[in-house]
Amino acid sequence: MKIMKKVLSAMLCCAMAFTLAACSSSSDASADVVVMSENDLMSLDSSQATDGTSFEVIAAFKDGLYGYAEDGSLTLMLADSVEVSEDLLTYTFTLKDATWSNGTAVTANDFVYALQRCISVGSEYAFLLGEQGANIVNAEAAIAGEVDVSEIGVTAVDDKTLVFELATPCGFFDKLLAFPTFFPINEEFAEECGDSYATSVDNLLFCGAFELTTWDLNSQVVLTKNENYYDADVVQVNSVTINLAQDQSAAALQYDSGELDYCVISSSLVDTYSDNEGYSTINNGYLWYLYVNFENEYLANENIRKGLSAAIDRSDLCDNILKDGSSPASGFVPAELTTNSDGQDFAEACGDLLAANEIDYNLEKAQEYIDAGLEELGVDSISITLLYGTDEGVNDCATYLEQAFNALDGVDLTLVATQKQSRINSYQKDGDFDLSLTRWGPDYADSTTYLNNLETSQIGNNNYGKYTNADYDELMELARNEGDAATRESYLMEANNILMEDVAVIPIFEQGQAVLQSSSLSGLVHNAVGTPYIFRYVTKS
Amino acid sequence: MDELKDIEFLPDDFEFVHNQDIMKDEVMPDVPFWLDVWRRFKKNKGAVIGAVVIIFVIIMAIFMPMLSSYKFDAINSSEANMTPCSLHWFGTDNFGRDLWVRTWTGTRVSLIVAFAAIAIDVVVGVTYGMISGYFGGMVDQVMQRIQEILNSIPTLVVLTLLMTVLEASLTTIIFALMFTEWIGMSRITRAQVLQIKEEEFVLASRTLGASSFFIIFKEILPNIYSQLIVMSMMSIPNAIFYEAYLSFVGLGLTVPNASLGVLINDGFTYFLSYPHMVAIPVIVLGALMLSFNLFGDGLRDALDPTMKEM
Amino acid sequence: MNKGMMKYIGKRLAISAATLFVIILVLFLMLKLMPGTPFNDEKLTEAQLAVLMAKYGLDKPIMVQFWNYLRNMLTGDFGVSYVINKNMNISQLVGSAMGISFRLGVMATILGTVIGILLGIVAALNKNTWIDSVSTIISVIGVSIPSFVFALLLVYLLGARWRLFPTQYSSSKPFTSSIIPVIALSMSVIANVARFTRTEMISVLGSDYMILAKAKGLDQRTLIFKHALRNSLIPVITILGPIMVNIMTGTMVVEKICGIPGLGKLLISSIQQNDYNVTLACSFLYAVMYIIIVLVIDVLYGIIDPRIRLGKGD
Repeated sequence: MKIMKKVLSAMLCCAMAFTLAACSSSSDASADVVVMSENDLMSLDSSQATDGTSFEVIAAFKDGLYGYAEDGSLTLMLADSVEVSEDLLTYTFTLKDATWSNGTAVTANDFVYALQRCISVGSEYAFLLGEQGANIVNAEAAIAGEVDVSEIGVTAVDDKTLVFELATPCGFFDKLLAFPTFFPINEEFAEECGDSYATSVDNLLFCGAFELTTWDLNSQVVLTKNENYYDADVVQVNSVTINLAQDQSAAALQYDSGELDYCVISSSLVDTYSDNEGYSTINNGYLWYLYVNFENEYLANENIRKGLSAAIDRSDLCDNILKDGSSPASGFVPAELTTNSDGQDFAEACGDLLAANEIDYNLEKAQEYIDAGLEELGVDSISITLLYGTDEGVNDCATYLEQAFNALDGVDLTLVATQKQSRINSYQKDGDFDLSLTRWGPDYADSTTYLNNLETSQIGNNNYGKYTNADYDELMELARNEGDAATRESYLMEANNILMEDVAVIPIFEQGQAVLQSSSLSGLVHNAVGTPYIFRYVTKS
Repeated sequence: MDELKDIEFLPDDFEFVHNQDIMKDEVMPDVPFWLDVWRRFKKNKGAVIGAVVIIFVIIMAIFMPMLSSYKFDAINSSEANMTPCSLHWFGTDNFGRDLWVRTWTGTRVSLIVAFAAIAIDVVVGVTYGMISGYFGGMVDQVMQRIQEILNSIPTLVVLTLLMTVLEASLTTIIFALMFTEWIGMSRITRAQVLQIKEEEFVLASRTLGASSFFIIFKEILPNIYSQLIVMSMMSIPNAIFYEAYLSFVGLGLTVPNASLGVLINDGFTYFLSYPHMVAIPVIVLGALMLSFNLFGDGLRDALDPTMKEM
Repeated sequence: MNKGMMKYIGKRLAISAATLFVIILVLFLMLKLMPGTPFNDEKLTEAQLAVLMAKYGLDKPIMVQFWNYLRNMLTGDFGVSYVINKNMNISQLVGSAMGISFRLGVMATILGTVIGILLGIVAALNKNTWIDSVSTIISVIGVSIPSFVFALLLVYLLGARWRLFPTQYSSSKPFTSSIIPVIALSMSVIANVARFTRTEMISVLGSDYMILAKAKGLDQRTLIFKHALRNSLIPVITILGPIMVNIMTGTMVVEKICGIPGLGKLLISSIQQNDYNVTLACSFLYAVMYIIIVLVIDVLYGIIDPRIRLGKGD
């Protein structure tokens, strides 16, 4: 990771067609917006949160150095200005005058404290500070427990000046700073609260566009406009209510009756609502694929893997079963993740790698591959299992795959159902699987968030299938040391192609989501990477 | 009380409270026990209806999946989400799988689970209850405490926890059901054993040198079987419900298998768009549970008319 | 309350305490057997996992963990949630869930008992008429069909079709959004209570003292409300135990259907997410409630009807 070209993330502005409608009617500053989330929020401690719903709420009541503008692009928030050294290793931020909800000023130390705390409490997202993320000086060593957290390269020169020192340049550092993990926490307040910090409305401080005024566990949160916000004029509504852990059918009914302004609906409702004027689909950034266990003698055979991949009718699955805007995968890097230096989408530039390597849907071809594979193996049939988590919302996909694979002569596939946590922690970690239906959510907007996982060095970590290919490792290494953005991208694209040539994993679909948005609501910003929704700019007429 | 004096009693002012015929001894024809049960059972309309429905459902569950040209797990996305029509009598689900076949296959699975679980329950429960009741003393004390503890955790909690520790499958569900349902059986058995073992025929048997094993199985067991049959009939709807519950919360059978619980769970997400998907399995489940209850009630009354309603 | 009663209650309490201890031990060991750790993010490195395990004391031997847990528990500290709401006190998390479940359960019990008693009385007074038959049919259906089937039906009809009430629980509308689950839960209560009241009422109506009261020339209303009802209702208390246990079971499913953030929903999601402490606390609470209900009903039964010899027979 020497030099990384700054990459722009894929952003979607959900206003889209509705902006026109919103323009004609005036927005109502006293409006209350109600949206739903299908998940509960797991933590409001910005240094420990890991889930989208928590990020949404945190980003609404707290600002980072960077944030999102109304068009979805990155913009400075709490930072007034930034200076980057020539070697791209030192970032010096000057902070704006902002205050916490208890009246104390937001200082540079709040950021330092938040990042140190992130490592010391063992946050799952601490790796964003280390080599896989920003690579802040000493962060990796601090995560491993080798040096004290106070040694990491984040320092407060004075109350208003914050300095980051990186070990290697990071092309997406600004994007990372917009991630709630990098948001400030008031040290004095947090220490006073101790373990109960961020476990209730009273144990939190706010410095964002909204203040959290209600938090009913597992039920709803209410965000009310923060009158003391440094940029209070930008907030156009009185409050935003998020109904938590909601059933999608119920949400759709509430949307019908006008109680809800925005909701996500499941594929079971798409038929009913696809004609609704508020209906649209968004990309939520996840790629679903099958880990292939290379230690399984059958699956180590390339023809068998090709046959399995070619047996999946991905378009049929997406269009007729999932129906929620999901699209067939075209490689190991999903679309709309990142843009190349020439402005083209990375996945688009790669093209359909499945078709290029003849592992896209073709049942006849699939059978040929399997027959060839069986002959090479010297067996009549193979018996394999497919592992999936019943709590991951992919039962439909698993059902489909079971049928698709069993339609092949000589393949006998059995499904193994488990829960997500044991799928990962016991089956995958122990290598106790043949095929495992899994998803990867991007942590930052760069193709390496996917590609890094299949390096030989990641065996024992995220490379659960124990795939290894020297050419691939070499390309990834070259990319890491390449200064020129275009050349680096060409290495990564080639690497992506090798994965498909080898069928290192079997990509299935890029997850989409069907949503309903009332015509009176506009200004909701949606991100496929990072914080899913930004409420700062919403207006309601 | 002066008025009373004016009243004059005549000979036919009074009559006997009881009909005098009662003194006569009428010899009833000797009716075999089962015929007697059958006669009483027939009189209970609800129970007969219940029995008819159960038999009907069992026949459908056995034969319909065999007779249909569709397979319960065959996906055909071009025929997805169809409402009931001549081609698919119960419509199809989101994969285009025929719900007629899936419903009866699911019913079959639910019934298998219920019957298997109850069969195991009876064996375990009866053995446990008989040992505990027959030997008494320390053995009984210890066994009763164990049972009390197990009984203090609500069934659904035990089931839910068990299903997460074990891998989800048909046998696991049966095992989990076995784990909780035997307690009722063992209680009844023990109570009966305590009562019967004091009776004279047991004493006689013991005096003649019969072993404990012999007494338990040859002398005591035949005397409690009618209660056990009733108890098992009453437990079946429970077992069906628990299976449905486990599948409904996502801890039960796995795709592409069907059971009534799985079908209800799948259909539930579609209840706004395609209400028939959830309605059909719910109706079958409801009818089955209702019928087993009616049937069990009738059977109890028929087997032992003196047994008081719970 | 006599001496025998005190002794009986004391004995029952001792057994309950021992039972609870064993339950905790078994649950604790069982949960430790579950695969994986509560920290199941794919992005967590081994070093961080070790930090977390050490932080929460999960790296210690199981018996030490158990001992710590037990000691903390006695001071009311059930630990913190690892996953569902990170670092939140279990008492806070479970308390809020339990409050909601408890409220729904009580509402359903009260509603069901009142309607059930009325239905039972009406049926008994009109014995062997169509009113009686209707009431019997309602009872049989209510007893046989599980509450979640009713919940589905009500959600579909009242919620989706006619749009009278919200189908999902919402903390901003706690009353209207509770209507569907409460009705669904109360069905089995109505059925049980009606069935029982009817039987009791009929036997009371036919008893000698009722004939005497009637012969004294008391009017129908006094007869029913002052004499018959009082005597037929006391035994109804005895079935409230099984009924409340039934409702506890019912809530676990109805909570899922109606999106109620109650104890059952919390238990299931804690199991799915491997949040040990929450699972333990929820199961433990269920067991405690169960034991208390059974105990209270047994004792009440003894107080109401001293003829019952406590502690004899199951």
